[in-house]
Amino acid sequence: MSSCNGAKCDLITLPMPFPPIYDFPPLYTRQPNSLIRKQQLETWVNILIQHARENKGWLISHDGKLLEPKQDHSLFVNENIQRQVPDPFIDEIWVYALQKGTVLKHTNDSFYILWKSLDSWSSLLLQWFETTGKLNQVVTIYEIVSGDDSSAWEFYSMNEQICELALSKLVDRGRATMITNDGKVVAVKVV
Amino acid sequence: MYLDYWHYAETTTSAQPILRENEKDIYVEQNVGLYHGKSKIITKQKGRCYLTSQRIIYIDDKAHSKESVCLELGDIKDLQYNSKFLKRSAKLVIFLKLEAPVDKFDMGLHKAGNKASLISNKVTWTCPICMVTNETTGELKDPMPRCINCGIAADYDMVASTVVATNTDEQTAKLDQVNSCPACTFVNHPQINNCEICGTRLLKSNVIQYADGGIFKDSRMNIVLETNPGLKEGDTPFIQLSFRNSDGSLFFQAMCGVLEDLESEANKLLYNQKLVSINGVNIHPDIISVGDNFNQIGITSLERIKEQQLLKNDILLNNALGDLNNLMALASDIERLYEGAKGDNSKKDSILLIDRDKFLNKSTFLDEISREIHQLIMSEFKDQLKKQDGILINMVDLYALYNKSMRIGTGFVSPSEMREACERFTKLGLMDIRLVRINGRVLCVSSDNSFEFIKKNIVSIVEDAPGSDLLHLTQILNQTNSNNWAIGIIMEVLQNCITEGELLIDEQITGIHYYVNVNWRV
Repeated sequence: MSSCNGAKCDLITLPMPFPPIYDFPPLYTRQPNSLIRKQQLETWVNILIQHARENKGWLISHDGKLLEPKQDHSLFVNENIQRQVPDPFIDEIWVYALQKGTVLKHTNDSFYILWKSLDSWSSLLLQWFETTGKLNQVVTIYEIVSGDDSSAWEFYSMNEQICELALSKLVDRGRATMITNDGKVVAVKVV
Repeated sequence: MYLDYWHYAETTTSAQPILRENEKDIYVEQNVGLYHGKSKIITKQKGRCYLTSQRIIYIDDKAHSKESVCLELGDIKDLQYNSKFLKRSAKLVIFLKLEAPVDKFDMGLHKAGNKASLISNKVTWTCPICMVTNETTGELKDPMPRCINCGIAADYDMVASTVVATNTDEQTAKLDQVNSCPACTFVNHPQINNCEICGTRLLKSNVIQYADGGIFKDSRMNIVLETNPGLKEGDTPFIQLSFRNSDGSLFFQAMCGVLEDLESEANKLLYNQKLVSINGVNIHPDIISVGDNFNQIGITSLERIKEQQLLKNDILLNNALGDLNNLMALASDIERLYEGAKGDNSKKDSILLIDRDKFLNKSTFLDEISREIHQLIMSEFKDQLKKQDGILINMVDLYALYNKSMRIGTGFVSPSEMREACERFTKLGLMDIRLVRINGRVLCVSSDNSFEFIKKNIVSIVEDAPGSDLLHLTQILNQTNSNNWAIGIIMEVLQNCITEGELLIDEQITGIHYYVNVNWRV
């Protein structure tokens, strides 16, 4: 818990570490050459992932602000070089990211951001179940993302929806059963 | 024999003749061969023949810089046209004048020269009665001239002691050496044929002599005859133009027209040249040719001046009436023309047609235009070509440039004609430049590697100064090279760089800034 808080404080006080290309002005203009543009979009997706990983972000708004944990600064605005991505191009970036599976639609205006794929998350969760000896037990979602046992793991403080999605991968593989209450998943049992 | 009628004709690199000041081309005939007398002139059998207002110029198709010759129209005496017969192609026989045509150009135009020939035997004598010194032309013989003061005829015995004959040969010789222009009086170098200022043919141009009397020979001339030309001393020399493609009748007609014009031009300034008598009174040539002479003194001369004045007035009035009649005739002609033209407006010729008349078909016209464009580009962009690797001009700019500088007053070429003309560069052997299409849309006239050259330049500028915009690029390119890369061209090159992925754009309100693409390789 404490280490996480420390990390969070660092992130707020220190400038976010971005790759040098983040300060390259043409990044903020939609390139007319389609081959180049594909790489440009790829670069944006990488920046999104890196940003989310550095900040343990799970939910991001359409205009590039992290919602979980909450940040006021938009990823698509670069004050250093006074550039910002125009709205139509932001749309294009989201479309590309959705297509790649890097983000999932949450609401019309926000996205879950997966800095690891759902499959990696699910295998990491499985590993957790195995190492902590929680197989064949009913474990609540809350316990997984906020419990003491998981505080050293990458998925600590994970968005519960994403956790559910990752767990459903295990369900698909026949390794887990979901326990629902009023149509809402509350717990899981991994075998 | 008589080979000195031919002169060397200077040509441009585009195989067009260099015309003199005031010289205009009138007609061009393709595929012409030259004969001197009855003999073919070897190496001058296939070329274009330009008819200009002063010369006939032959430009060889293969070696235009070596084999091109010209003939002065002023040397031509007569024309004869032989039409095509079986295998023999149509020929135009041009008879040449034996003597240098000094008189024709001289009369009336050149007063000093005129006078020199009139007073070739000037005699001065002193009147025994009033002691006035008289000047008389011609020999002193019966009827004896009258004294200008007292009007009494001289008696030879009485004046014999005072007669002094002035030999004016020296004067005439001096005048000849000066070689001054009959039209603008500019004193040209003795060996020059045409006035440097106005292009008028000089009087003594036909036989140019060195100080030692040798005849000037142009070493650039290269005339080799196939057989004996069959020209003898004393005969009227002639040359022939053989028309291999056409029947040459258009050329013949055009030439007749030019010669007529030339003749009327020469006579135009003569003041009542052919006038013999007015109202039955015979006219002394002095009245016409000699102007005001303020040396005249005495009662008789006053009387004569009065008489001359009256005669001159008469001539003037007659002239004026004649002119008035001509004017009226012209006016009625114009009126008739106007009435006629009103009927069918639909047949109105476009302005584009004007100087196409001298070409038989569109192809030859385009060939000529093509050469002209080539010449224009080469002269206009000479510096750029020398200093750097290439030139690149888009067609819009070229069209404007060409029509602005070359076509003044003679109608314009149409854009499509210009394009076709530019496509002919390679065919005509003009290898320096060709027509290329940039980005698959913009037509440009370009030298070999200019596009790559400027592209490399632009990329390196952007590399040095990331975020350059179009203005900055244009300034840098044109500042270091002191020529004008058109902004349109630069835009096209930038477009090409972007399409190829070499440059990236950063679009701002201030404009588009360009960056070198280092991160995203295609």
